[in-house]
Amino acid sequence: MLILLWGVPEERPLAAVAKALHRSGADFVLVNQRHVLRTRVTLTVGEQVTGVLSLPGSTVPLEEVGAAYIRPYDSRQLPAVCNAGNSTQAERCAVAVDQILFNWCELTAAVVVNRPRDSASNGCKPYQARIIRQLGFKVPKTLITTTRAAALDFHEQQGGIIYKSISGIRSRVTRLTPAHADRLADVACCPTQFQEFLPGRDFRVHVVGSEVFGCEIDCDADDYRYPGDHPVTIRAAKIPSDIEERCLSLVRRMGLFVAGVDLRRTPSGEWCCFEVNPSPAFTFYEESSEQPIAAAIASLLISAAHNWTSERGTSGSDAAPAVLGLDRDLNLAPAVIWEA
Amino acid sequence: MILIVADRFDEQVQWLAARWERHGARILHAGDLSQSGWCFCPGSERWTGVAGGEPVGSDSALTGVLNCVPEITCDQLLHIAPQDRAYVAREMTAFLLSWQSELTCPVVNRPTPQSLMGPNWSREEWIVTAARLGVRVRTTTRATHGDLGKSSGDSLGRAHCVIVAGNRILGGTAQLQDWARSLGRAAAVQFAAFCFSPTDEPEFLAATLRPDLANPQTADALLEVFDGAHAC
Repeated sequence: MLILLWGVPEERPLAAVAKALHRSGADFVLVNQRHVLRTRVTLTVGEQVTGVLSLPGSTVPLEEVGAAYIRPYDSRQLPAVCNAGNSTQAERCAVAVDQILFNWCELTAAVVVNRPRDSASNGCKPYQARIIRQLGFKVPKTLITTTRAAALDFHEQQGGIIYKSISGIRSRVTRLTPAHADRLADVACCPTQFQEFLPGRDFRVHVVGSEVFGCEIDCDADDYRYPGDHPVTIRAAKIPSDIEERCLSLVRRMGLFVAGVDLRRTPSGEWCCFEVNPSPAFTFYEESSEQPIAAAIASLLISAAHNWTSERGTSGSDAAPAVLGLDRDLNLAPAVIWEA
Repeated sequence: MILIVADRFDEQVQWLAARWERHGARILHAGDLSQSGWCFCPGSERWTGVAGGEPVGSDSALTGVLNCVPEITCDQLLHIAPQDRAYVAREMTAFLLSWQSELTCPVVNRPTPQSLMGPNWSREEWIVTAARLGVRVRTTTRATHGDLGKSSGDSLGRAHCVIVAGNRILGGTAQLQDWARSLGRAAAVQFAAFCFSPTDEPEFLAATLRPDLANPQTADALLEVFDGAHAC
């Protein structure tokens, strides 16, 4: 069996999954993005999808990969590529590696956590909210507008509103206050998303296959990811079974194997869902809650890779060609948290 | 009214809008999304907006939308401060996806989270889909080295292209038309061109979701999709 990881090794979720795979004794290959200029990929498609991935010191037939965990960054942002300047051979090479590996992720029958096309709904929050609503969750009333007066009317109707990005670009959820009055005319430049403010307690639910890990977040800030002076407490929490089931259905409906679901329980006990993150930075929660999320992801990958091998009638050792050792290739030093 | 979502300087789109003028066609470009007047509440059928500088909305008897750009890009946003263009482009693209996803009139092609023009499939994804449908395909290889990032295979210059435009299939033999119809259905697109090798045993080579628009046959076939459709 063969498991492939793709990303920057010191990025915490990727490092955590690599460590969990190592502890389980699983063989895996790390496609280290920092080595992108020494990475070669060939992908051939027709009746079959085959390919070869050449990394420093090893070669991997892509058709032998049974599971993949991917958290790639745009390779053009990597220091080695940036330092080479724009429109250079280095940049073209980095872009080609990204494109071909993304293509393979879309086309392979292996389990990919998560496939890019299944992750894409997170690039448009109201589009994703429509799916969330269809699965029975409450979603906040929303207005997208370029009209100042409409935003003010919405504010008056709802009593309190927040604004945040429409797209997948990360933005700080902020409550609209009188201090925004002067800037509100700027909405004419670009459609802007406003939502009713729903008071309550935040929960993050991580779904890994059929496992559910619930966390409760105690923080008074509008957006606990940017708490400012407000203290943040994260602890493991039991989520009502019907809400767990709804989270599982939602994540399955989106075709995801792993996801972070952002929920809020209102004072009246209603559960509202804001977003499903297909590339959750779960280590931020795992470190406080001590939930074995990385281990669960590793188990899911191992199980998928075993199934892949048995379906093809080859033994694991025969199927795994070149494996990189964890100690040699991973830098597990703590790094900043990179929220996806 | 038909809205054509496009780059305002696209000459093919201008030709098409002129041809469809008496059907109320109007170009909706990025500049229109920087005008006061847009109000959209997801989950509600009512909305207002701006197209071609004029007000539009759910009261406008909109009979269809034709998407001619995959996304809003920075070069369509010269009226926005340079440092804000990338953000505004992503926000406008996401807005168009959200708004169009709730329209009940024909939207060609229906946007997906990956492209406003439909599924943003790579050439390799089209080939694998074609092979699964039983269409004869030309095996293609893409590699990072050598000819960087480019697929092998025939140049499309001499290829036979078959256009799917609504219910019409334009060009090609009966077999190529059948294959094009199957590919269009598999991708859930109503407007696309499928290219096949000009050989005795043609093989599928590639697809595009932006065929030539300045073609009377194509324009008339597309118009049939919108003509008589229920307004939304």
